[in-house]
Amino acid sequence: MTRTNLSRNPWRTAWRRLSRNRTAVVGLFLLAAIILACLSAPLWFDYQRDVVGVNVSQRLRIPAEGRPLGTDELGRNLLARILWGGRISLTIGIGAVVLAGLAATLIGTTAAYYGGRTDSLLMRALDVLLAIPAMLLMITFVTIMAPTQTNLMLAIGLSFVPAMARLVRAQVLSVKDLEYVAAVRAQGASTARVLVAHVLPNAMGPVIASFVMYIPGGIMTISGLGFIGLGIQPPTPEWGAMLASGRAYIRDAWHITTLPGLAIVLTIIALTLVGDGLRDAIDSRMSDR
Amino acid sequence: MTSYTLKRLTHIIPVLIATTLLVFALLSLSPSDPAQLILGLGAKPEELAMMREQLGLNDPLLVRYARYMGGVLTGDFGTSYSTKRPVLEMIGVRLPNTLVLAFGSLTLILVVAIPLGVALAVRQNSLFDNVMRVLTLLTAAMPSFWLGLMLILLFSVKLGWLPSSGLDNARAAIMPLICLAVAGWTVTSRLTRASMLDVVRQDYIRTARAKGLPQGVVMRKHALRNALLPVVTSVGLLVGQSVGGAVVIEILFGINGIGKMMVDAVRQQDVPTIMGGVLIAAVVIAVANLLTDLSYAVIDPRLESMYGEPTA
Amino acid sequence: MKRSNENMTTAPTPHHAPRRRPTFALPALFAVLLAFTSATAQNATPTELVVAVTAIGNTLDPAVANFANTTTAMGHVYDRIIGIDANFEFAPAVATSWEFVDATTFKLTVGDGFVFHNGVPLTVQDVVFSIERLRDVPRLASVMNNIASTEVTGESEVTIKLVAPNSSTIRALMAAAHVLNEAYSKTPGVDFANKPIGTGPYVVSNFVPGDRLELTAWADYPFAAPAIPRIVFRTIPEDANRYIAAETGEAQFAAITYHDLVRAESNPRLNVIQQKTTNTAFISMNTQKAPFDNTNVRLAMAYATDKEGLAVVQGGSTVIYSMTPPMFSTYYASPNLPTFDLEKARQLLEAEGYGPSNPLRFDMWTYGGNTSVAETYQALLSAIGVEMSIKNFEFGVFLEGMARGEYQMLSGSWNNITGDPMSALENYWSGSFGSQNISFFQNARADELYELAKGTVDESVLIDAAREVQEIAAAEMPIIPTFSTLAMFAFDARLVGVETYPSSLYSFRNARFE
Repeated sequence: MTRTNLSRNPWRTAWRRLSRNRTAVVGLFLLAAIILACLSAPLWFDYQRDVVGVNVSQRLRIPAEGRPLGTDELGRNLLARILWGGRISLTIGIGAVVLAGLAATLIGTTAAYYGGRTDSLLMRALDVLLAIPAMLLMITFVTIMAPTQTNLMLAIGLSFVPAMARLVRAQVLSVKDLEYVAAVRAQGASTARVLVAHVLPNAMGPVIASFVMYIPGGIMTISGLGFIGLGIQPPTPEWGAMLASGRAYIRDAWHITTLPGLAIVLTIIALTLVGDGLRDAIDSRMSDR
Repeated sequence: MTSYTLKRLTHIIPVLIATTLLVFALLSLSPSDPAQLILGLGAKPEELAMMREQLGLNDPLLVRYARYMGGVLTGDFGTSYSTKRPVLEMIGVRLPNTLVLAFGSLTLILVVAIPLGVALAVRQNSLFDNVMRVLTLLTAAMPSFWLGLMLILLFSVKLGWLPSSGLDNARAAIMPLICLAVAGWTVTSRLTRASMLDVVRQDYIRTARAKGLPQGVVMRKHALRNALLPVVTSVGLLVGQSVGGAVVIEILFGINGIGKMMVDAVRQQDVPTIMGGVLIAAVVIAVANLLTDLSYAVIDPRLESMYGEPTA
Repeated sequence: MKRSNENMTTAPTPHHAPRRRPTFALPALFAVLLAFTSATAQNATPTELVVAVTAIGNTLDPAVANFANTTTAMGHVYDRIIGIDANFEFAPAVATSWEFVDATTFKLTVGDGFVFHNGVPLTVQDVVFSIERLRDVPRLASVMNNIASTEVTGESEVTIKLVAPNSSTIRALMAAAHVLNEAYSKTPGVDFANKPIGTGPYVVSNFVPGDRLELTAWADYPFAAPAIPRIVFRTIPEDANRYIAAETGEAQFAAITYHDLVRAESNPRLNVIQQKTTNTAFISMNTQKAPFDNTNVRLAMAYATDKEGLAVVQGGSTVIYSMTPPMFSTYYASPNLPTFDLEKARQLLEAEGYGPSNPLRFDMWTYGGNTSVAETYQALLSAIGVEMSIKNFEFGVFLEGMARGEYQMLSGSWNNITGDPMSALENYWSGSFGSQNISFFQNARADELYELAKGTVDESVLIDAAREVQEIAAAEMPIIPTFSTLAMFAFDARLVGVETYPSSLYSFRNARFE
């Protein structure tokens, strides 16, 4: 059980711990650099010209001057496409986690707070979703709807909800019986007020840290789906699909398959480091491991 | 043990029913017209209407679901729209390949990750521990298909040692299995390490040590057995991941498995085949979970006595 | 690519292992696996021929499959009634001689000694059945509609009566017909499409739809036995992997792409075939559906087509200016064809009311996962403000939707396997909607020219008609011919006697390992 010190601001404490964690800081810088590069991509590259504009005479160029990461099989600037692909992957990954987080908080809190029948009903329903591997759930989804950015975000978010909701439920359960909360309740505060003002702020710290750890999974799923050709459709650049399209040229134009993969690896490492650091910072029990 | 097994079985069946109902309901939203897919080009409107009636497409969802499950129980998984073959037959041909991938990688995970996790726990904070921590950070961040491409580049293209596609022989299985196992290695070795560290700190281990038992005996007889409990719990989850991961790996290595069948089926809007694939995957995962629970009970007899008592 | 990420995956190597460690099964395991890998002997003469192909259809009935690979593979199991040689001339097969008695009567004589795999000798009635059964194949409707009757007219003689004189009917029929056993095919419960019985030198020993097809030499083949005991057609969808398979000896024959051609040529263990084919790639527009029911919009698309660029992206391809292959007598390229001119395309669209405020939007269909040609075209069009989205289908779905005319624009290619010069006219004939005329193009003069040409025996009439149709096509642009790709194969240098055809089909009937 987490003994959260309620008199001090837990977030400030967490931040202090995080900033002292060297690997987490490295992760934070890496993540910031990746996000910044992706966000600033439109400053250097024109979407029409560099990202989707085909230039047949420049195809399959290996990394060299002027085109730091070379060109792909249609002569498109690989750096521009990787950066734009990052915008897509990060948006979907983060968006899915935010949406799933909201849904999971609602479901998990309801289940934990009301308990009994409500609880077991909700948990059973989530078990159903949990029983289907994310990739198979995605395949079911793309059978019935177009793989647009929004749809994929929703589908991936949905696949996260069961595990996340269980987490919220466990945390809320552990907080709701604290003496302090019981005291507030005894004073006659409304359920909603108890939840929003007292239970959630104390329960959510560790939960949010764990939520961050789902973003890499989302990015993996998106790229996996793109790789098998069922994800974001061309010409929109997507890391998994970019990699797949370079397979035919794997011998000479190795960069088309290698570099988008490296982008995935770097992004996921950054997110993992930050997530680990966050968890350690917020959950003091974990930090002494 | 028997009553425990029965209890677990009764848990699985409702989940299986709900899972398949969910997927069935989702797939029934598919925009394609099965009648058109079956009859193909040149079908007249009245023929289409007749086929729809014949297929029972006009019935309510639950009726169609009940009919489908009824068929499944008698070995009729429907007929593929595109291959015009029984789905069960298609699954029968492909399931062995997917099972080889799923359970082969699971074995590889357990055989490698548990000793590794133990070694890491024993040598906590050593150079080895730290190096492996960095390595697992890397391997956990690698998408399996990318790792697979890099392996193909090295072992097929540069060295010419391993075939880059199919699952015709043991050699062909090496790269796909490694790709599938890597993610599991990371998770399982971390879990084993953490679990071992937890156990080692507990009193009875200290007692055993104090009694002067050799380190190896303490580790094997006392620590490992208890430390494995959380690892065993995660096996069910690992099977689920392997089945899901097999989809991508089957596409990458051109392996004719359930995953490739389903991806092809999505492009052809072949709903019965997709449904059959999900159903089989759900069953495989449910069985794996059941076995996990049972082996858990074997390792930890306390559980059996807990569940073994007649329930009110 | 020399990064050695691979080491990371193998987890602890002995160097890292702690001295006082629990027993490691791992290094031993890998040692075993690696021992396996290095023991690949490639020196013995192969007893089976593994053929790596891009795809194998879901049915083995070549009339239905519409898959060049299926037709190629089944060419070892079935015999044809009349064969078609490398020059698109008729060649003896089950029929030993044939003739047109008059413009609507075709007679053929069936040879002796042919036996089906179930031991039943071939009869003339089987030949009649093999033709008549094609009436059930939708794709062949326009051919079969012109066949009035097929009858046994002698001990070994079959007579085909046509409804109206048409020089292409018999040719198209012979290209599609394989000889099946009537009694077997009609046996209730027999899935003859997937468990075929033919008169050819090989029997199907195993078929996994979409994955592999295994053929075994038939021990009781009454003619000269084939030299290769087993042929395995294996699906390897990925281009690079197909070539790797040939290189590592997993496959002895592989259809490859231009990208791997040079490497295959420089590999002493491999031989290479580059076969000129009737392959014709095109961008087709559905002339009965908006926005391509508008001729000017179609012309704009033609002006926006950079054929050279598309051919480069495809690789191993040459630009073409006609839907008719150059080796045909009816080949003609109109000098009035639109040539690549983006500004002209933009102006044409502007005149039709399309522009920045009202961009032209449509879907382009393609198939098979590789969208590079479609993406190239998409990029060209986006330069003039046209928003084209790519829909990538599985081939079977693509074909059906195409035949039903559900598409707006599609990118594809086909091979002419009949060698029929009439195809030059049929591409624009309203009687062939969804079959040859996939643009659903309707033009009174084109129909008139088809009618005129089909009955003629005078080649110059045919050639003139084809020329006029090409001019109509250039002005109306229902379909844009883009490029023609060579058929490229890499194979074990010890393999000799493979026959390849401009139809892109190939045969191992006379092949052997040296």
